[in-house]
Formats: sequence, structure tokens, C-alpha cells
Amino acid sequence: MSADDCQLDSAVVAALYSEHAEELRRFLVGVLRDAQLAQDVLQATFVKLVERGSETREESRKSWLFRVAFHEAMAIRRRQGVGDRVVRRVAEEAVGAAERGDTTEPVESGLVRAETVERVRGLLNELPAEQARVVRMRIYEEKTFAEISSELGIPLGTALWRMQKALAKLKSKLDQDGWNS
Amino acid sequence: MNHNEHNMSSDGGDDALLLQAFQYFTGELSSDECEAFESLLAESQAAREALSACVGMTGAVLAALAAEVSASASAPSALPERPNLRSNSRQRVARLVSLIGIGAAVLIALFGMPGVRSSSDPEEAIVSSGVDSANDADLAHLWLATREELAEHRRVTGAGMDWLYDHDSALTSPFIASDFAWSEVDEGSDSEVIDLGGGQAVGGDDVAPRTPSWMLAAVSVGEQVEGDWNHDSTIGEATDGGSPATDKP
Repeated sequence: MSADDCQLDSAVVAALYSEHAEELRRFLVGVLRDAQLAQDVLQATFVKLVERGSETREESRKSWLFRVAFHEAMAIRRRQGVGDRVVRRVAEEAVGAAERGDTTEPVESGLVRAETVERVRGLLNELPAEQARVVRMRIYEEKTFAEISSELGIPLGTALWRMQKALAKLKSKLDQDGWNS
Repeated sequence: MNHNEHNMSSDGGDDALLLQAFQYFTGELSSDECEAFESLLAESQAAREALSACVGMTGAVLAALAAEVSASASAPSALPERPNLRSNSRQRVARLVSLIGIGAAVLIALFGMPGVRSSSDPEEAIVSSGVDSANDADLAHLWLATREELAEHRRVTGAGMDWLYDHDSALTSPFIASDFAWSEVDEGSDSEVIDLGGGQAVGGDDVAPRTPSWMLAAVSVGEQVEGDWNHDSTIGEATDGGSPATDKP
């Protein structure tokens, strides 16, 4: 069997890219903490999909993409270090994309779409105040959970629990809106 | 603390995975925990999707909060909460300015009346104008109230009243500038007009910076002759002998 025989049809690849690239890119940023590297790995992942995609089952292609991307990312991480304070960098990207009003090409221009930012803005107001406070302190003020628990005078577990509940609520609402599609 | 807070829901496992992914992303896991989570990432699609969701939500939350802060920084409502003392002070100034306006109207009525002899002595002018009606007595009462407010303000703040007529100092004084700024923004005081009847009307806050010097001079002279005022039989009915504050130099 030739290499060409293993390749996926370009229309299928385009459809998979359209469907999964945004979510995949966020995942890669999570692993690599670097948007540019994430973009590079994303491209490499889809190159592999083109080359070997026909070996995969259609129903498991999403999982296959994530697995390949993860291994690619880990290979890069072993060669390069990653910083801890990544939130601000992610923020700048997200804010930049939102300010530009990019809603059509989120994968190329930012981690999140402007419409998602707007949605989250509303959802934050729906969170219980104590949960919203922890979210704000952790993400916007970049405080650690230890710092948050100390500042609010609550046990560390409570701070973590509030964050967990807040994330779960946000994700649940965003999933309902189909933010990945 | 509510003990129910720690009760896990049926999908508590997913929630915990989400939190773990978030901590991994934000670098709050120990190296051992990191390795464990990365092993999970290698095997579990749910973990990978949780990490992706965390990154997306973090970016969205940051962008949302940054936009909120940015928007509120340029909006009047974003001004920091001011203490009650400040608010009271603002109300006091607004009231004071209104009273000044009324006082001005009184002076205009008195000095501007046809047949009233022009005089450089306000006391003489007031007395000689024949203030004998009930309305005029009311106006005189308002005038005295204005003066009491002025004296009260001076007593409370320990400051002179130069800002009332010195437009530049009004703008540069943090006390007054901010108070007027607030008045303009959230009370729409420009539209507040006190109708004195007979077609006379004076504005609210915007009167203060434009109060003419002659009026302030009249106020000043009026203070000097206060004692005589209070002994005047015509005005005396409308006064209560003056406030202690106005007796102070």
C-alpha cells in the first residue's frame, strides 16, 4: 500500500479541523503553556492526520487527534521548559482576540471567541458571590489557592471546592451553548 | 462553613478532573501530581477535554474580567465607593449652592426693584426697600439661612469660601471639583431649577462657580452688619437672632 493510499480525503481533514482544532489548540496550550508552540503542534498533528488518518476509525478520530497532539506536545516539552506563570500570557491572547472581535477564526487568532467571552461575562454574574470571588482572585489576580484561602480566611479545601464548582458550572453552561462547535 | 459544600455531586469526578486540569494548567500541581496527571492525559480523553475546557474558560474569564475592568474604569460608576462623609459633604454643598442662588435672587429682587434706591450699603438698601410683606419676610429668612449655611460650612471645613466665586480654585480643589463632578454625573443637577415665582428662577449647582463678585461682596458686608440686622424691627420677625456660627468672626 502506498503512502497516498493512507491519506485522508482533504475534505474530511478540513471538516475535522473545523470541528476539533479550536478545542485541540486549547488543550495544547494547556500542556505547553505557549500559544505559538501549541499552534505548531496543532499543525503537526493535522499533518499526521493527513498522512495516517485512514488508519484511524472514524468514530475515534477526535480521541486520536488529542492523543497524537499530546505525544507531540510532550516531546516538545521534554526539549523545552515551560513557565509556571502562564495565565497572564493566555489572557493577553484571549483578550487580544476578543478585542479584535474575532469570531470567525478563533483557532488562528486566539483561544476564545469574542462571543464566548461575552457569554462568560454573563455567567460570572450568575455564579454565587463566593465562587465568583475565588475565580476572580485565582484567574484575574493570579493568586494561588493558598493565598486565596489565607486572604479570605477559609480552608484551602474550601477555596478549591469553590473553584471546582465554578469551573463546573461555567463548563456546563458553555457546553450547552456548544462553544466548541 | 456549610458542610454541604464538600458533598460531591454525582458528576463530582468530572468536577474534580476539571479542577485538577486547571491546577495543572496554572502550575499548581507538584511534580509528582503533574506526572500523574500527564499519565492520565496520555490515556483519558476526558482528562484531555477537561484541560482544553480549563484553558478556554481561563482565557474567557480573563478576557471578560479585563473588559469589565476596562469598561468600568472609564465609566462614572467605576469611581471608588466614597464614604458617607463625602456624600454628606456633597449634599451639603448642593444645598448650600441652592441657598446661595436663593440669596442671589433676594438681592436681585431688592437691588433691582424699580424705585429702590441704589446703595453701596446692603443693609441700608434692604431696610429702605420696605421689606414689609410676608413674602419678603420669607425671602429674608431664606437669606439668613443661606448665611448660616455659609458659616456652618466654614466652621466644618475650616476653609474659606473662595471656591464659590473663584472658578479656577473650584476646579483645582479636590473637595469641590469632585463634588461638582459627581453632581453633574449622577444627579443631573443642571436641570434642577428653583422657581422663585414671578418669573425668577435660579439654577442649582451651576450657579456656584459663576456667582458674581458683587454678590459675594454683599454676603461679606452682610456678615459685618449682622448685629444691626438682628435688631432691625422689620427683619427681626423673620430671624431668630442669628445662629451661633454666624456670630463667629
